[in-house]
Amino acid sequence: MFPQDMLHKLGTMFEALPALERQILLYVGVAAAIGVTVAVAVFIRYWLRRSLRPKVPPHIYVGIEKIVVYGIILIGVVAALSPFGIQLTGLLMVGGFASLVIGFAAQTVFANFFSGLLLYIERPFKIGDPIKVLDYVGRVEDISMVSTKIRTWDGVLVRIPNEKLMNSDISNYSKSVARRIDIPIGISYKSDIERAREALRRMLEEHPLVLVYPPPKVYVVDYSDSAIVLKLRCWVPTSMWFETYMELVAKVKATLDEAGIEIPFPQLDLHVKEPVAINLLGREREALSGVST
Amino acid sequence: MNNELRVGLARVMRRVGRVLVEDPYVKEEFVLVDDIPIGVEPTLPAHVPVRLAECVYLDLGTPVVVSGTTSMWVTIPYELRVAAGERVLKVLSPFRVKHTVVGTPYEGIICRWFKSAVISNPSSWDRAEGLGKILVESPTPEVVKGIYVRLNMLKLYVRESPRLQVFYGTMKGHVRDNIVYVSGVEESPPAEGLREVRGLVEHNTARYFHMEFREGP
Repeated sequence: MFPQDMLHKLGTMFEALPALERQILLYVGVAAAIGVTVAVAVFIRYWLRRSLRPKVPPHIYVGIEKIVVYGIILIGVVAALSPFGIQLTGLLMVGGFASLVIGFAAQTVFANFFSGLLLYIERPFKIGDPIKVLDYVGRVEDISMVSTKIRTWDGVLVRIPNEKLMNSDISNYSKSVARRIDIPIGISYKSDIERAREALRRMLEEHPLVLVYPPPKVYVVDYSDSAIVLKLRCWVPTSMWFETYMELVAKVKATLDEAGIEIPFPQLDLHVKEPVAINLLGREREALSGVST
Repeated sequence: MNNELRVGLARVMRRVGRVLVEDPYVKEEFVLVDDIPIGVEPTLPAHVPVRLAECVYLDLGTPVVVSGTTSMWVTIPYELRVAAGERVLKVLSPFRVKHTVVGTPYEGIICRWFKSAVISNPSSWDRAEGLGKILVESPTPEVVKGIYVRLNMLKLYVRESPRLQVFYGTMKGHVRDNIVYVSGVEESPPAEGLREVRGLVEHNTARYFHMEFREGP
């Protein structure tokens, strides 16, 4: 009970003071309380800067620092001013009601803000990563508190609210050092499968960006209506995926041509059970009758 | 004075007012307005066809058994930078280029891959590939299938006469999972009469080139 006794004694001593001195002491006390509040806020800002700044991107850190520091100062100052009749509880009630109203009005903004924070904690991508999200495929250009900007491969800058990103499937193409290429190609039923496989495998092995390990493969995947379907499968460095894919797709036909392997058109064999009468018209009938005579 | 240089699959040819550079991945011609000297010098195998790899993986093909401290010479690739004055025009590869992943495709590292071989008599080596000496520490007998070395560790040396010969600084490594991981390179050159050359081409410039070409017919 020591602190309570001390406070009681201090209160009695304060009451016993003359009015002017009591007033001066009150002002000094309030000033000291505000000073302590500011000192605490400065210390917390220093601590935040040391612990958070190296880990959190500047655009997120600045927001967190402002909310924490100004919040402490506001509460401290209002509490310090309570001897002048400014009540913290009343202010908190008003503040709470205002927050509720603002909260409803700015629901989307807050949802985006907290989604931004969660995205930062989870880190599914960073600036510069090639990603696919919703219907957009491109490179991440900016991640802000409420939205993320993606530059699509056709050059369009798309702004996606963080809340939408948080609820979507995100494919990040830079999370692996290598990425697989699959190219299906049909060859005719007359073709030598082993010869085609060998030619295509050699084509893959000669390409400087097709990785030695995991080894490239060429294999039969389907006997379809018009063709035997082979699949070329290889791994390439992720950063060179599209360039290599383009080159390989273009080279497949030349390689098969060189090996004498035919890429067939879609075709349909029609077998007729009963003899069918064919009516010939005009010149065809004359030509046919001329030949027969 | 030379007007044509062939190293492995790479070729540099100087004609009146022109220089032609060629390897399996590029064939390009440059017009030379002034009588500017064209120089060629070896560089680390990291630029052709694009700068991707931070390491080299030497596939020994036939596995080598090592025990205790083993010293061996192996073949290592290099590239050639061709420059006009101090400006690098092109980097050529005298050898076919391949890459691989050391580790998994998800978390591994992309390395330049090269089909290497252990050389028993380096002094009589007359082929285009560069040579490097490696000291392998292994307390117990181990089977080695490949050598992994980070490019920024490699030291490159050249001997220009009587013909271009490329050497790498002596490497030291240890065996793990059938691969020798190079952990250090000696400061001194591996043989006498060698000149150290800069490793990677940066900022597209080069300071000195010793194999200069003059105009041919």
